[in-house]
Amino acid sequence: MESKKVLELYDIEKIYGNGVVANKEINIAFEKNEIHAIVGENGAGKTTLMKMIFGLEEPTKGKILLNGEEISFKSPLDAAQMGIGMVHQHFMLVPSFTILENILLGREPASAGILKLQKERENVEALCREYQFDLNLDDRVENLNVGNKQKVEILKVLYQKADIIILDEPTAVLTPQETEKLFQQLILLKGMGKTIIFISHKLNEVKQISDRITVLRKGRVISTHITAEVEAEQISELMIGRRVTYSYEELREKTSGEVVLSVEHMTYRNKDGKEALKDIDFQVKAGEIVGIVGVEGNGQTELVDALFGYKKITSGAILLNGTDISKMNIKSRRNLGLSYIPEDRMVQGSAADGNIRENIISSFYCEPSVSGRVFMKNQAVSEVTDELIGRFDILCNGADSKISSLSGGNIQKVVFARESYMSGRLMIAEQPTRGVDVGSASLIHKALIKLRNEGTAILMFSADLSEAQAVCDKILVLYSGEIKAELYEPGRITEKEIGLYMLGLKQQDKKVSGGN
Amino acid sequence: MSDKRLELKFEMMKTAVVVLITLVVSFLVFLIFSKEPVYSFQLLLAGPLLSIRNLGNVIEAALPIAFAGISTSLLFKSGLFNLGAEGIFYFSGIVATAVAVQPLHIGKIQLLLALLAAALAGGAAASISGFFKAKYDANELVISLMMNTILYGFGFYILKTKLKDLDSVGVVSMPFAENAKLSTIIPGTRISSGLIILIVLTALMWVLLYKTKYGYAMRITGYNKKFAVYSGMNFFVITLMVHILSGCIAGLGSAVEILGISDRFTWSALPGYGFDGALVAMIGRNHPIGSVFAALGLAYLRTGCMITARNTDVPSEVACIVEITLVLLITSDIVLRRYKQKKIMERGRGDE
Repeated sequence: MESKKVLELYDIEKIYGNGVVANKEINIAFEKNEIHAIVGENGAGKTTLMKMIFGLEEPTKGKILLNGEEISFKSPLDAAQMGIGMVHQHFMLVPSFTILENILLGREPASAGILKLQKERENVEALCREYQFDLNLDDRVENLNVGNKQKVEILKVLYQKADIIILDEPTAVLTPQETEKLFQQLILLKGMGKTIIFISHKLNEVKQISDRITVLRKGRVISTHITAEVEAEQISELMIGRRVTYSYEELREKTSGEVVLSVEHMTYRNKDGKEALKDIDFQVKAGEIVGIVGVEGNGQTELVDALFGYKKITSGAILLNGTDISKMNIKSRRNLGLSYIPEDRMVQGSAADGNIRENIISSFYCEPSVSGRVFMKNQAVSEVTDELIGRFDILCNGADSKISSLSGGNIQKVVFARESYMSGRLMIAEQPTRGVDVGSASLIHKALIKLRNEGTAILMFSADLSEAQAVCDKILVLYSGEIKAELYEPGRITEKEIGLYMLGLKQQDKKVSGGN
Repeated sequence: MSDKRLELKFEMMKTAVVVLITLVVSFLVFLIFSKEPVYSFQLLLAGPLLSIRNLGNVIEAALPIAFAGISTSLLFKSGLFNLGAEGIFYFSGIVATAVAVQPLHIGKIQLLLALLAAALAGGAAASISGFFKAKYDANELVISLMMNTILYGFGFYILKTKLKDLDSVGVVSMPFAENAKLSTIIPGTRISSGLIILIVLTALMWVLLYKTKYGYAMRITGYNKKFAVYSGMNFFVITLMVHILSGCIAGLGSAVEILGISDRFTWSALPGYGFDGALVAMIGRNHPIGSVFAALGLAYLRTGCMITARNTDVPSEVACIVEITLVLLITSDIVLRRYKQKKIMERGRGDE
């Protein structure tokens, strides 16, 4: 098949207003009749890149050529007119409308202001036949399953005469069977002259479906490969790259403790009916840091939410010191000794407009040490605040500094100080050092290990493998809602091997020790 | 302490600048409309101070607005944008009237009963929008605005069918029993003992908000609802309780207003105090003491306008421009604060 460049990106750069460099030195050429995969970890710049191609963002530098001509999009409407369509990860459909109405939405045929939807019915039906979509145009979208909703999205893009179709994590919401069907459809589309840009971090799928792969890391293009010529392992190494390595071996004291958290056959079904967590079974002991790693979107968020109390599990049990907490509210769970460092410190973890004093006691403000039955012991609150500011070396103008005046790292220290103050039995730490400078990260790691040495059970979710390896006693790998591996002495296992489990390329049959 | 003091100083300066700009704009307007702009402007600024009666008018006008302001500031402080004080003022006024017109002969207990009934009615009415917000996260602004109309309609129906004075031409209630009225505490004015109730209430609410653990939970919820839930606070209980408390205060304020200055219930339309309350709560930065001072300021301004309109060639409509300018400037500040907050959230997420 003759290959022809349809969309070329030259030296694209995107710097956001706040100085964040999202993309730099991006050079990619997409060809006709190809499925081109863009892979990279979270935050590698995939989404920003796609937004620029689709006209949602404008590049700060560089040029985009479409069929050899330089173009610049001011909006997705421009992009759509030039034949670029995007299927978003979260569907943009009106549930109460029929398939036909959804497809014609935004370009409704009308005469004298009166809708003439049926006029276009034949054209849409012809499209369905041409691309082998098995859909009844009069079904309401709300009654469709996820796979068919996605088909509607693709059909809509095709109806808008797109030649270049961007699919953002299309398989994230699909079952394996639906994924298989989608792939058949994509290969058919490719054969009919379309260019498909496939964004994913599921390497096995990328390997199966794509013709070429471009790897992004830290906003830059690392390399482009012909899929048949590279191994998945190679790609995964390119995605991860070298990182800062930490070592805390000398801080680690020998501990042996009783089981604090025991999760038994826990299953969670989300509101779409999909099993986001399947038969999860693990334990965390006192004086132990257990790490949960995995590619984002494989059940980590659901697991945290189920353990902390945001979501009610479908079946199974969560035992904290032998008490089943799975039906309790957040306050009761906290009272039993659960603490939680959330992933997003600004949304959940703090009140930006409040001062440090208000923020640092929020999870234990009813405790007798800072509050009576009705009145707060404001003197005691001040003492606790000053003590924690000192102990965690929080850079501020005193206890009355607003959280909004602190840097990200110092806000995280406030969160950590609060959650560790009550010296609970179990701490959930979710991405405890995300977006934090190396110095603060190291301080938080040491504080976690100190808590561990003192006998707290810690469950740490991390997207940073080297962090998980350095800090954890044991690592559990989550892949599509299941624990695929339980790895002891994670420091001795190579990142590459953990990567294989994370990508679902390897599965542990029985629990083995990684050490010897 | 330095940060806190600086913050307070900055906020006060901002308010002062807003007031200054308002005055400059007003003066320019007076220059256009008045043949004696300087005299009119003097009267606007100093009129309320000219006699004890004028000063009394200021406090009298400030009383209901201050009650509504405290009521609304509690909601705002907890992050609830509810404007239901308006309807509660009307409805609770009817309830107070229903008690006050009865020939009970139980002395001043009748007054206490009337105040209590009005407060409870206010709390009950507010609990409706509170429940829908707490349970279903329904938009409290929409519900409270609808409730205003419902409460007004219901109240007016009761007034017409049960409380109307048949000997009177207009739709007014029967006269209140003497024992149901608040007494005047400063001779030469109409300032009632409601002022004392207001002062006590303001102090209580300040203590509640800043000294108790309930107030702490309210403030945290107001800052960031998700953070409050994450911290283990019960959003349902807090939201419902704040609504009820706020309704009680608005209801009490209504009773104080009608039993303090009138002989019978005469409102045939919504009185506007609820919306004034929202205004002074904003000016007072959702602080109970701030709201009371803002209410005094607003009442001072209005009294000044009235005196100016009565004594000079400036029409009272022009005097309204002063108030409108003030509202515009204050709301623009709130819009900008939202924008600033968004920027802060973005920055706090990462140092990278």
